[in-house]
Amino acid sequence: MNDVEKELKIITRRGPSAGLDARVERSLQNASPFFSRPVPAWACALSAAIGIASGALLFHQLSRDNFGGVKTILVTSNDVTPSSFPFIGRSFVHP
Amino acid sequence: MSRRADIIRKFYEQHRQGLFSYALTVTGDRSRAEDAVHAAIEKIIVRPILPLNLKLYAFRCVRNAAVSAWRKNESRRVDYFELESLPADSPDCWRAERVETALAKLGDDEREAVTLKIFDDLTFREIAAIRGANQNTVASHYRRGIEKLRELLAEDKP
Repeated sequence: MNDVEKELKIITRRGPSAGLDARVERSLQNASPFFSRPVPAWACALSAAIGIASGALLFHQLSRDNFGGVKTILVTSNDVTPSSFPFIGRSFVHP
Repeated sequence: MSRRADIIRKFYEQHRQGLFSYALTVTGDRSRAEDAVHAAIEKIIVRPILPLNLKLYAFRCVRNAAVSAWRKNESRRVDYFELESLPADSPDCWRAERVETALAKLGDDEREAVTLKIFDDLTFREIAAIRGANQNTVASHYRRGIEKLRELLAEDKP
């Protein structure tokens, strides 16, 4: 690290206000019912069958309908396991 | 509370300072910077699927929101540092003020590259992805920014 970089690093930066934290928290609270809907049995069974970790399934392979229901599972490169590999890039739609 | 909301909350807690500083760099205005960060987090919340690289996505969203806010803002002087927490005649306050003044004299591209690299520890590759620019171009903005800062800070030494 050079002299200028060191000089900039040591100065305390101004942070966002508590007001922003409160706004973000409110947005999270308002959104949570949408995302807290449980993953349905068909999606859990499918993920188990193709070897996706169920934790990962909760976060980014699902697309949901307007009511928070699971519509599609997309198997992404994040889910690589020996058994899921052939399914990478494929979508599975609600039966 | 869902695990997804917890992930986004944790992400925000971890990166709030970086996202805010970046928005401040682009908008030059505290309240517009906060609006940009909030807009970015809301965008993440309503996405049906979380992006694979949440950090890059969030910085990109902040940039988009901040650029539109910046277009409405005349002032380019940015209050980056917590000067009020420092005694007015202290060397720390003096140092922070002169760095702030020097940063304001950089070009927008240089300032963005310098603040993202130094304050947020992002790589040139990440900065390039956020800005939709070439990695070599970002590296050259950064080097030019650091050189300019070195000259400006040297001029300003007592």
